[in-house]
Amino acid sequence: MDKKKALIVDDSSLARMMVRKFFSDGFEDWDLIEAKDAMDALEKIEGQFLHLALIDFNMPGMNGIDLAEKILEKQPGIAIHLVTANIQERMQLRAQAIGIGFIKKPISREKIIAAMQEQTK
Amino acid sequence: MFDAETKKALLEEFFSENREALGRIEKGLLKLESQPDHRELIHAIFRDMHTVKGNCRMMGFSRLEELTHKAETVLDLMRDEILFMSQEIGSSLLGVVDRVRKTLQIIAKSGSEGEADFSATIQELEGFVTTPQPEPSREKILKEDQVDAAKPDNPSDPIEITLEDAAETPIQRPTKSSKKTSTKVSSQAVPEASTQTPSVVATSQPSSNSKNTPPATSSLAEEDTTGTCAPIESVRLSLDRLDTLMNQVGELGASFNQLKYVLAKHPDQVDQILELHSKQIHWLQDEVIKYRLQPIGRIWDQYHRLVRDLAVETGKKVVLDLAGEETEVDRNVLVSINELLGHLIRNAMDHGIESPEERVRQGKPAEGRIDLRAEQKHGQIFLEIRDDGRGIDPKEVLAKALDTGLVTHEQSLEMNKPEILKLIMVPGFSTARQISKISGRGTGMDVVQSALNKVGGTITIASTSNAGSTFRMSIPQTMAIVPALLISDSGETFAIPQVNIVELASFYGDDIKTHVEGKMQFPMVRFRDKLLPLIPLQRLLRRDGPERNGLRECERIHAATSLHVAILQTQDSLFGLEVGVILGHASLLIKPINRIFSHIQILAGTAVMPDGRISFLLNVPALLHGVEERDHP
Repeated sequence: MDKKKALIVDDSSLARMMVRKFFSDGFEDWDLIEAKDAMDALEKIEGQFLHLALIDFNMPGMNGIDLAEKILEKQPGIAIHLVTANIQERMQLRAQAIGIGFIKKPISREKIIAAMQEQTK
Repeated sequence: MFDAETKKALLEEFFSENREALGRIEKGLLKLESQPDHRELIHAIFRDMHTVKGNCRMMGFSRLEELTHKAETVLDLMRDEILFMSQEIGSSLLGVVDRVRKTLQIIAKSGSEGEADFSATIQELEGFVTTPQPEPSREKILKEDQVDAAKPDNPSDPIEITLEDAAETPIQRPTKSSKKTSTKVSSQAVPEASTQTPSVVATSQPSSNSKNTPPATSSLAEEDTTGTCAPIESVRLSLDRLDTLMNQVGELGASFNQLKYVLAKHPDQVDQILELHSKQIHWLQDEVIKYRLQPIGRIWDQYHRLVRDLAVETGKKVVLDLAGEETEVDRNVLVSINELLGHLIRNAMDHGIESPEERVRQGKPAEGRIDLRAEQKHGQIFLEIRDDGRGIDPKEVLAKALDTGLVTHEQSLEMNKPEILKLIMVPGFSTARQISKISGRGTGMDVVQSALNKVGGTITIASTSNAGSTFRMSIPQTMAIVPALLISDSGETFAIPQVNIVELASFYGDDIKTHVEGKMQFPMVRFRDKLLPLIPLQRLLRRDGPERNGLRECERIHAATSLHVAILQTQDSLFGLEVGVILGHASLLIKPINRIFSHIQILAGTAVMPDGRISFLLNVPALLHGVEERDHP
C-alpha cells in the first residue's frame, strides 16, 4: 500500500525538524512534506494527495488559516490542524466553521497521533 | 522523548535558527530607531521574536520563553500602533537580544538555562505594556493570550506583510549585491514616541537587581562580541562541495597507491606521479582555503549596534556607513580584524566625534560620520576607517610623548607628521582628555598595533584638525597557506609572499654597474626604465649591517659578481629587495610568530621547511618602514 502523505508548514526550521524526527521514528507509513511558508506549501503539494496537514498559524506572508482554506478548496476532506499557542475566539470559530482542528503548541508525538487517529475516522 | 543524538541535532538547529533570528531582530531594531514608522519591519521583528519564543518553548527553556514572550507582547503592541518605537523600548528589546544570546551560550555549555534571572528585564518590558493608555479599548488587546492572533482574520489589513514585502525587507541577510548599507543612529528618542512611552528609568530597574541586569548599553561597551562572533566559529558547507572534496581526497588516495606501486616496480616513472600528486594537493589547498574565506560583512553587522549604543551612552549623534561588506577574508584573519576595528570605532566615537553642540559650534552638521570601507586587491585586504571628528592634534601628541618620555627632544625634531601620529599606537599612550570607559585608559591603540602584527598587517594614520582622522590598513587575505618565494640571506631562509612579488631579476658582472646607481645617498636599481629604491635585506637583518652609508653600499654592490633582486610591490610603493640567493617557490603553512619576536615588524610568521629548519615570512610593507626607521633613528 502506498504511504500516506502529511504536510507540515512552519517558518521555524526547528519546528519542522522536530516534526520530521517524530515522523522518521514511529510513523514509517507516512511521507512528510515540509514547507516553510504558505507559498512554499502550495507549490510543494501541487499534484499530491494529502491525508493530513499541520500548519503553523503565524507565518510570513499568508497566515495558516488562509492557507488551510486554499488547501481545502483543492482537496476537500483532508484533515487540517492549525498548530498554535493561543488563538482568538473569533479565529477559532472561523476555523471550526470550515472544519479545521487545533493543536496547541508545543507539538508532541501524542498530539500528532491524536490528529492521525482523527484522520482515519 | 528523543534519543541523545536526535536531541543534539535539535539543539544545534535551536541554536542556529535562534542566532539568525536574533541577528535579524537586532539589525531590525537598529533600523527601526531611525525609521520608527517602518510597518513591515515591525512585523518582521515580531515574527522573528515569535519564532525564538516558540523554539524556546519547544525545547523546554521556560525562563527564556517567558522573557521572549514579554518582548513579543511589546512588539505586538507596536504592531498595533499602541506602543511606538523609542530609545527606551529600543534599549529594552536590544537588552532582550543580549540576554537571550548570553543564555544560549550558557545552554550550549551546560545544557540548561540554569538560574537565569530576567525579572528586571521582564519588569521593564511590563512597564511599557501596563502603562495606562488613554483609550479604554486598549485593555482588551493587552491580554497576552491574544498575542498570536492580532488581526489575522482581516486579509485586507493594510499592514499585513506579503511575501514580496518580506523579500525586500532590508533585514534580510546581506547578499552579494548589497554593497552598501547605512544605519542612521540618533541619540535622541523619536519625538512622538517619547511623549507616549514611560521612562525606563522611572518605572523599572530596581536597584537591587541592577547588578544582574546591566542596561544594554554598558554591557555591550564592555564585551561587544558576545554571541555575535559565534557564527564565525562554524562554516556551512553545501553537500555538493563536500562531495567534490571527497572525490578529490579519493583520487589523492589512489595516486598515493600508484606512487607506492611505481616506487617498487618502476622507479623511473616516479616524477610523473609526483607531479600529479602535487597538482592534486594544490587543488585541495586552494579549495579548502576558499571555504575559510568569509565575507567581512559577517562581523560588520554588529558595528551598527555598537555605534548605536555608544551614541546613546555619550549623547552623540553618528551615522555609520559601511561599504565593501562582500570582501572575503580568512576567518582567522577576520577575528583579528574584528578586534582592531572594534577598537578603532570606539576610539572614533570617543575621541574623534564631538558632541552635537560642539560640532554645531565648529560649523559642522550635528550628526557625525564614521565611514568603514573594505576592498580586496592582490591578495591583500585594504581597510579604511574615517571619521569627521576633531582630528588628532600632532602637537598634542608630541607634547604627550615628550611628557611621558616616549621620545626625546632630539628625536622629536626629526619626526614628520605621520611619524608623530603613529606615536598613538605606542603602548601606554593616550590623548584622552579624560579617561572614559568606552575606549579605556590608553589601552586602545596599542591593541590595534598588536592585532595588526599578528596578521602581518600595516597601518597608516592621516588626520586634519577639525576635519577628522583616517586609519588605513592593509592585511593579508589569508594567513593559512601562503604561496611564497624562498630566498636565503645572511645564513637564514626567508619567504616572500607571492602577492608582493612583481618580478625577479639577476645581474652579473658589468651589468650590475649599469643597473645600480647611488642617488641621494641610496642605492637605486634601474628596472624596466624605472629607478627604484634598492634595499639590501642584509641591512635590515643586522644591526651592525656591513654598510650604513648608501654610497659605500653602492660600491659593495658594484664590486660583487652577482646581484639578485626581487621587485616587490606594496599598497603604495614599488621597490627592489637585494637578496643573497633565490631558492624557489613553495606553498607554506604559516604559523604565527613566537611572542618573543613579535616586536620585529619585518617578520610576519614562520614556516617549517622540508628539512625541518624554520623559515621566516617577510612582512613586505614593513621592509620599507624598517629602512626608514633605521636610517632616521
